[in-house]
Amino acid sequence: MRIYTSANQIDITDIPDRFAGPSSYRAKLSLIHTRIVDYAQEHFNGSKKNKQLIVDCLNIATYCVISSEVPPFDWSQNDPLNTIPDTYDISEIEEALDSYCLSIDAIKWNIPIQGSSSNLNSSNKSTNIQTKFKQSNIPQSSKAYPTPSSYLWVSGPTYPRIDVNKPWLAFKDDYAEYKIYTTLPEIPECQSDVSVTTDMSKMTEPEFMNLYPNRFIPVREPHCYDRELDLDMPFDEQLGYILPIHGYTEDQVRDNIVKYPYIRNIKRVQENVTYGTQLVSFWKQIEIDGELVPIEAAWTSIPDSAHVGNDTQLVREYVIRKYLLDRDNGFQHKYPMYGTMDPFLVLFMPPEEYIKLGYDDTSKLARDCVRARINYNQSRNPIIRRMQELDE
Amino acid sequence: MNNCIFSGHCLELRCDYSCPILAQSAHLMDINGLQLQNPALHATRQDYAKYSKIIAASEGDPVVLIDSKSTTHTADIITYTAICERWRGCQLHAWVYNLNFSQYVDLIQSSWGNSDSDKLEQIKQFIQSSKVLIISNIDYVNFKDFQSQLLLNLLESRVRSYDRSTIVVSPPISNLIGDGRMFSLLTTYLTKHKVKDK
Repeated sequence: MRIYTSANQIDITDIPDRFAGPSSYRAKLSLIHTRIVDYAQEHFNGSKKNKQLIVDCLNIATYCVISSEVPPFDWSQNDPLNTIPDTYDISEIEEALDSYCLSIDAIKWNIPIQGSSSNLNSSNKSTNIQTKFKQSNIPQSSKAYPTPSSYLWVSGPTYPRIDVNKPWLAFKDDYAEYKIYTTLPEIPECQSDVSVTTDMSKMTEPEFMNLYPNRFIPVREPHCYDRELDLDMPFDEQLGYILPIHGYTEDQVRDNIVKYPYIRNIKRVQENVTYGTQLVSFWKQIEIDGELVPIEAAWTSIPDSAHVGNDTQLVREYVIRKYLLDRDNGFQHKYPMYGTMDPFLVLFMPPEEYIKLGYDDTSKLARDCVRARINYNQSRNPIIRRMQELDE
Repeated sequence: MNNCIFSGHCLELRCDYSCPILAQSAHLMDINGLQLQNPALHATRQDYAKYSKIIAASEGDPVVLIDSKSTTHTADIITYTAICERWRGCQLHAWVYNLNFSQYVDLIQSSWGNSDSDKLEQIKQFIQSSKVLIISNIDYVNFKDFQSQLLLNLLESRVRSYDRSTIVVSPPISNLIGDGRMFSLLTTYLTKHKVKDK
């Protein structure tokens, strides 16, 4: 049931402020809709094809925001209608949006026609886009919908499911009774279903392969994909910026990004006199010659900082990625990260794309992903750690 | 912990009763009477996705979901879906509330001649404060003018509040029991706001 229909229209100029999207996304939706509507007003020619282009653009933007995705990096804010990304199928987007989907009839087009001043070749563009959507260059599997980015979450699924008849771990200490129930589904249907209780030995080959998304999902920091930052470093269409890291080649960094695309929420254990054991953000301190130095103090003395700049997201990316590169090359850190972080924790594109990048054994990658997630969860789970403490 | 839905996925430093994740999610589960044994906790992924869309679609204009099998079970799944989406930052308020309408009517009727019981006061507060209100058990009510008017008023009070969702889980409307002019108004309202259970 759509919210906006021919019987319940919304003014095109009201979309930024009054579009009834999910309340938690309204601010983001308003921001992105404003850009599109502002641009559309300047380039409106009143034709049906022009209207369809604007509607498609709004629907894709809504979809990106609601599914918590970074707006595609080839989408320019200065020219949103002409640079619509070609990785989406409009009919699938409309189905996924369901009640939030807009159509030409659902909008009151109360804006003046700009006539020949428009530089938007709507007729050609619209046809072009329809063709491009059908001939998306990113391989799609037979799944009906584009894989939601939540299927890749490391912190578990949105709707946790458990089987209380199957306790996986149960014990008591002096203060409380602890239990971990087997999570459902026992055979993960997506990456975020993998938990401490997942048993890899029960999974079959197709079940491993099913964990791949059916499209590319950007999981790095948003600024790593923002071409408009125009940074002085190589930019890969799919991977984003390849940060220069002293001592490593571009290919080594690229390989590191494929293995560890998701490097957020990385912590380090810190003993504090007042608060005891604490977890602190890993990137806020960098280990130099066996000493932890606050990143603010150390940053300008790092030669690569001149290329990376002072953007928080990129600094964070740099500190953690350098640590992982050093670690994988055998460097023993005095202050390691908290918990494990194995390669391919997140599979962020279809298997065909991994093969194109030279990672041929996609079945092994899927197994690595499940193993990495089990290790990631088990090394951080407080109940398992508590039991280990009691055993020691 | 015994009542934590996140224990298999938990990444916190310590597990104790002060964890905000446990406190907020367990609070909402508790006020809605959802135990870990409830079948709503192992519904299908498709069910959660479907009801999530219905919750979002009901913001600002109540919707009526027709369920010919088990309205109680469906209401529980919707409640769990809403809890999983809204527990964060609920500050121990009743942001998701599954109103057992037949019990609510009984409590109101038994309060006539007396003051409102604590439980009734609490339910009224929960209805007022809830961001997602699920109204269930209307199939166990004999709708006279009072009951019909009560439900219509309740639904009308939530119209045009675009940050609040309201979902009535109803049996097929022809199966509702009642009579009177208000009842016919109610059935017209429910029919008009009916959504397809895809």
